[in-house]
Amino acid sequence: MRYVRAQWDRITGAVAVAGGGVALALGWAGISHSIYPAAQLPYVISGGIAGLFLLGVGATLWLSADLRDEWRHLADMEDRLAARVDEAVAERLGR
Amino acid sequence: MTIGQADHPTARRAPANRRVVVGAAVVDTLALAIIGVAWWKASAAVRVADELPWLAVAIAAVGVAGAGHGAVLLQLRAAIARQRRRLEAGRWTGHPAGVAETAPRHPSAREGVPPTLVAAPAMRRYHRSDCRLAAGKAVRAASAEEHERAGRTACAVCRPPAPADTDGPPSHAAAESAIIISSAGAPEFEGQGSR
Repeated sequence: MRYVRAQWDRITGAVAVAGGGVALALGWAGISHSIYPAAQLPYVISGGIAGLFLLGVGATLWLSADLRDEWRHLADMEDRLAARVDEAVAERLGR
Repeated sequence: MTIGQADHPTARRAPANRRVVVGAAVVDTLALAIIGVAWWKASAAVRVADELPWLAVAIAAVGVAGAGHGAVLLQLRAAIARQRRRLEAGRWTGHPAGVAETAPRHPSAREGVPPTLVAAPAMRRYHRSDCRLAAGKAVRAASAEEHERAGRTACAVCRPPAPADTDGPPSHAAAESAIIISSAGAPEFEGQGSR
């Protein structure tokens, strides 16, 4: 549960990508079973466009999770540097 | 695997503007609803000519949602670039636990009492007379202006008032600037050998 809370964006992104793939496959299956363009277009919208939308959402969530991690890594470095400077000042004052 | 987020010590700080993230989420929800409506309307139509406008509406909704995603990602990239620049420049003045807030105030830094400022000829910094870094040194007193004219800067530890700063000690940014992080990562004080 803790892992899910910590990695909610990656999990949601993976689910969205999987959902997008399923939507594309179902859309393709629906279109291939219809011979009339008028019957195929709803599949293009529900399967093709909605599938692409979900793939985009998933990719964005995954990329944003990576970017947030990189930002946090830099923020950690900043914390450690500031702490070392604090220690150095305190040590200097104690001499 | 990457760092966890909810239990991360820096999780309280957000790299992206909350309004942009919420805006993108709202746009995504609207786009999904529009795609659903477009599908429903296209399914109810019989002719291709009646369905094509709904196809265009769905494509437009996906395009707008994509722009929202792009805005979020660009903002995160910009936040990383800002953080990296701060680290490279060594500016940590905005840090909540930085030197600015934690460095002990020097005993002689009392409001309204002009301190005696001292330095030895070889010193690169001038100090309050009771500064530990000036203790035991052959120092002489002078005004802050005179010290500055001699090429000295204010001590980062006792933080005497600079000539332009008559209301109190200089900012802690000056204190931070006196500390150099060496290539090995160990903090060093500038002019350790010549104070």
